[in-house]
Amino acid sequence: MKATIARLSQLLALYFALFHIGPWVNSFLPDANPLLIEVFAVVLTAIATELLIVAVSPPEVSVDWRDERNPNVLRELNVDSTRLVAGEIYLQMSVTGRARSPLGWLVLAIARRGDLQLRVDMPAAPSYILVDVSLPPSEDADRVRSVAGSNGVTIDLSHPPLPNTWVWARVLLQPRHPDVIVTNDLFDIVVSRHASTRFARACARVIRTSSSAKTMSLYR
Amino acid sequence: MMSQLVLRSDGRPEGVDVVANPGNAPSISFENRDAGVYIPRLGSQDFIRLAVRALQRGWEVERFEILDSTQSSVGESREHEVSEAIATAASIGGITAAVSLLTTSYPTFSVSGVELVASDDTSVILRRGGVLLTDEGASPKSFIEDIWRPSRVA
Repeated sequence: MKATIARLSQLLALYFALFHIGPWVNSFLPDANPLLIEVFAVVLTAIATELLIVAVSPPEVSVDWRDERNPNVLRELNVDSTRLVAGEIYLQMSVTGRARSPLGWLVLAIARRGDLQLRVDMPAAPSYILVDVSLPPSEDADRVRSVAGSNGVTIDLSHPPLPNTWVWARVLLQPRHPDVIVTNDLFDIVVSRHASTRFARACARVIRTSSSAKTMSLYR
Repeated sequence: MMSQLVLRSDGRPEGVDVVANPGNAPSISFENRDAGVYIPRLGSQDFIRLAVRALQRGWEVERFEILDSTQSSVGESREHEVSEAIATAASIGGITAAVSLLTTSYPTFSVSGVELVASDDTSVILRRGGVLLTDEGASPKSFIEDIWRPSRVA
């Protein structure tokens, strides 16, 4: 819906630029080529509206969590502590990229070529994420990797996005201590993005990141 | 002989160490974040990567240890069958083929360990969390040097 509104607004602005701004500018510059002015007005308007769309609705990379036994996207990771200790909590992570304008896709593409990586972490949680398997497979390095010494994972997005899911992983939650203490605490799930080159880092800053589940919690 | 792989500092491959674990203590008890000591986080893809590296170095993959989604063993004959299939895929098509086979043909199974045999017939078993089992008196040095370090897992 948002994308349709943005696109309609852009078309309206382009129509206005073509049929109103061009002739209006031409009235000040009667010697100028009217076609050139119209082209200039349209190109400028297109760039301005693309920038506006990216500013209002930036390109997004989101992580959706699912339980192996439930196809619905999880809004919270509410974990059975007994199953956590037994290492039985299998989850799926799907990463998708979205943009509402060609400029948004360009920003994603530049960041991707600059070795875009997501970092998903739950720093204060009593568990860490063990990556069992990630797709698409790669001979060089796995797309999703556990980070030694942290509770999180890094997700490599340097390859072209796939139509449905950019990267998919099956992960296991593992306890950080042999005895997990159940509390009522909610542990934040933090998503951040990184890129290697300066320009790609600038593009990565424009990209919005999100996780379907914002917190992790335990129950007995 | 049971021991534990631990990673030092930032987890770079050169920072790996083998610590004796005669009492079969849980892997996680070896982790000390304040001291910069971590256990490896090993999943199916890591064991497959290590197996492919081992094959390239002239080792044999004796078997993969296979668990179902409830973390239960799938039984000896089923484990043998799945293990053979993954090892064959790994030797022919590398990591891509073996991971694809696991996720498509055995989507509810995961690899929780691998047994590798060196050319001198000594064997090494590596399990989730970095649990290492070696033959009595055998050193895991060649495993660490030839397979672990170049594989860049965990």
